[in-house]
Amino acid sequence: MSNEENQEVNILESEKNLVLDHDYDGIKELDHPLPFWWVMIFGLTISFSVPYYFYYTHADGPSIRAGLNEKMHEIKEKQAAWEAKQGGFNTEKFNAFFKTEKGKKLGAKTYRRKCMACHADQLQGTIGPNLTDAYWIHGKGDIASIYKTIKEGVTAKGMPAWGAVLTEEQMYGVIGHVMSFKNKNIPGKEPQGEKIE
Amino acid sequence: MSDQSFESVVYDDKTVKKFLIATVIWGFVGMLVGVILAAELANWRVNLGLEWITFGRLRPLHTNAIIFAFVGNGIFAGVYHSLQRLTKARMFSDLLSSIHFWGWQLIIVGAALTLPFGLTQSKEYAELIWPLDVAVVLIWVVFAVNFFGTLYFRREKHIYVAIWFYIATILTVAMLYIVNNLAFPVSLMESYPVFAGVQDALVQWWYGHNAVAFFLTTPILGLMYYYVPKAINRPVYSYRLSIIHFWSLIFIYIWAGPHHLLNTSLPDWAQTLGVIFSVMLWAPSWGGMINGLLTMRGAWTKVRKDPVLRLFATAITFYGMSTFEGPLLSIKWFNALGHYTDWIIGHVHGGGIGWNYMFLAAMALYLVPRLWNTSLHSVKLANAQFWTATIGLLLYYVSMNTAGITQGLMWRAFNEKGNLTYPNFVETVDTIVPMYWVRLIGGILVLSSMVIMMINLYLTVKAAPKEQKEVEYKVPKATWKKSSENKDEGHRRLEGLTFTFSILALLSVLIGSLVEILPAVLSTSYIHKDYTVDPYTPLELAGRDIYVREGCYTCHSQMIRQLPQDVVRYGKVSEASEYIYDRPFQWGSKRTGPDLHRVGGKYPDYWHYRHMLDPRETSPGSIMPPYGWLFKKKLDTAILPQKLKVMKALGAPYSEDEIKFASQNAQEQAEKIVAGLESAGVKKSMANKQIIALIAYLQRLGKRNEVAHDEKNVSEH
Repeated sequence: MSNEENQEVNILESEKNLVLDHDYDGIKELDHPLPFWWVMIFGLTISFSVPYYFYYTHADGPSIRAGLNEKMHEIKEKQAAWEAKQGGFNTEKFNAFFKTEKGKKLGAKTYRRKCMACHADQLQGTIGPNLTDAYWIHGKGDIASIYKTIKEGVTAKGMPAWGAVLTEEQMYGVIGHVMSFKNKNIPGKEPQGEKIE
Repeated sequence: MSDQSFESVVYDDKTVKKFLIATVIWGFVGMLVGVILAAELANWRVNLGLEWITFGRLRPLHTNAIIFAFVGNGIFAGVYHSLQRLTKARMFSDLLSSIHFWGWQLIIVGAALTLPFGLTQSKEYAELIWPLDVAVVLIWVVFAVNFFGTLYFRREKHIYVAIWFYIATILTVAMLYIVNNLAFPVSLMESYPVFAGVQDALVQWWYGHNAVAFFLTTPILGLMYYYVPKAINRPVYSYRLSIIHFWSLIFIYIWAGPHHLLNTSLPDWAQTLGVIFSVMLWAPSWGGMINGLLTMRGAWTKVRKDPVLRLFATAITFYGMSTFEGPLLSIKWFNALGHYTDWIIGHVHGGGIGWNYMFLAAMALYLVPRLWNTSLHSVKLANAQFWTATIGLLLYYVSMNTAGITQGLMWRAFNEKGNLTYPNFVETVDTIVPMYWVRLIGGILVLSSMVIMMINLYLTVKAAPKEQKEVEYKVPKATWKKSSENKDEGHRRLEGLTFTFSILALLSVLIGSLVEILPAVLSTSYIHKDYTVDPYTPLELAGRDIYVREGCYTCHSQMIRQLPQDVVRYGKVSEASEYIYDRPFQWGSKRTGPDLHRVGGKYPDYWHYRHMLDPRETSPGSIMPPYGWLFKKKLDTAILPQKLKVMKALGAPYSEDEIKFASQNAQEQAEKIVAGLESAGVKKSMANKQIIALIAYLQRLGKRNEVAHDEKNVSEH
């Protein structure tokens, strides 16, 4: 079987003095030294790793949790600063915005994307309550309490907090959209909460 | 040759041939399943609403088929072929060879007949159910006996570097596989692991990481040391380098597992070990690449002309690339960005396609003509295979890295309000869907390259002479066995002492394993002072097993990492003490969908009900498949007392009554949930369906009882 026969291993002139007397099924081995740059990489990774371990485990390196707490603190401060700048619900701004063409469009679009899955296309409710009847669970169906419910959510009942997700304009638009369906009494989910006359 | 110091030997090449054929067939199957999965991610409709081919069920089949069926058979083919020639001895036992071959194929068929049906342990690359695990261990022992038997009766005194790698592989895989699969059977098909929560996670990723190390890397390196110098007819570059990189590689590799759990609730010290040993692994890995590529030095003209050599060279290059990317991804900053994203998917396919597939393809193209005593049917086809595979892999790699880094950056982006810039998870998914299409094209190209090879090899074998005579080889007698004198020194001496060598190799992998795993497993400090966690109610437990069965962990994590982007998006950081009843743990490794650890109570029951029926109704743009069968299938409550009993044996504090009345208890809880859904039009008869149990579990996720420090708050359940 000619294919299985071992051909003479091709050894370069410069390698002749490096050939070891090993022979494994015709395989020869050279005795090249370890490449310098390879030894350097190995040395560098070890000299990085050992102090790294001792710093984080046995010295005063910060724990992962401490790192998180610090970053969360910064985020909370940023959020508080933004809140302070906004100054809560702005009735004037809302009145000026929600009836405009832009406000109506933005409201309808945002509703479709974020709210419809639970409150249905005509706001008659499925997973979430019917928003077209006279019954309200959280607050009295007035603009301010709708704003609060949207922004902060009622997480225990499954209503997400949208304040972190929607812009102020989007929320105003959605409130306008909800108000335009108020008391239309579209048949859907049964009344929940208190009747507000 | 009538010399008395020679004798004749006939190598068992039939077994090698069988393993080679199996390699090619299972390789095709594994890749085909991969392409189906890629299509399912590009468009959810490809799931066809069929439970057996839905992503979560099929993904374990892909990974197991590639690792154990494709690469496994490839390793066995190469080991059986090279070992006999390196030891100048026939395999120890033809019977064991036969049992090994057929046993392994039966296990693969067993996997294909269980995983799509949701019979799974859900630990990645260890999904096979316990009876199959027992079979794997038995067959592995058969392989080991056959292997070490051959070594014992070898005629060559010294064992070559290839064999060092085979030894490390056989011993370490046995250790990993047994420890990670330790479980308590519930029935013939189901079991609960002996480790829970964070301990289970640590053991799993010690296994998972080292499955890559000792199944996809060390055996292939061994094969490289045999086939590359053979194919190119050049001496191995550096014997010294092979010694240093072998021992450093196996010693360091075993420690690196925790890099799969960075920033999670695994204790800091274990994470730090995972980081540094991954970083230190860079050089030992590259030692193998250097020795492979520099062996080819001086013959580059041949490499350019010969597609087989080019496949070898490309495989080694991808090995070098993956083993650089690995340590990089283990650095906490890069890991925080890349973990749970498609970057990791790109990374593993750089290794899987680039290193494993290309290498085994080269080996098959080299071996088949030689074993069948003929020449390769077409060099042109081999060239076509090379280019198709290379272009396919590049498309795969680039698209997944782009997708992963893009999504990772979107997840962590904060706006000027201090809120997430992309709070809607689905938005970050839909952004990368085009990349899923590019990946699909890449995958199809790789699969096509496999088909080209199948045709090429088939035509090669078809043209081979019908009469395949067994060849007798004249080999030198093992006269060295008679002399008690041993002039060897240092490592050379060790190469003649296979038993000592094996013990040292085992010790090398035991040290890291024990130091990392023992403290975590023996520790009892996973109790938190601020809250308690209840064991799952029978219905929640049943729902959890459905979550496991459907492979939800293949797309969802249950681990809110200690990173601001996780905390702001998903809620309170996950604590180790919250997982004490989680068998198996479900932390996941990929977020194709959002994290679910705090999903309990986030939405009403009816939200989940509709979401599982049609995910796009509640989450527009979602790519999750619908789970219609959960609404039709009845829940088996009869087995619940048995399940609770096993859980109790493993440490969950269920009372005798709770076990006795588990089925009734589950029924009552289900009826309560359905009562709440009735106003939405859900019929009472749904109470016995599996969906209700799943909802019970999902609503329970992440719940804990906060304890006021003076009064203990015992909650109802």
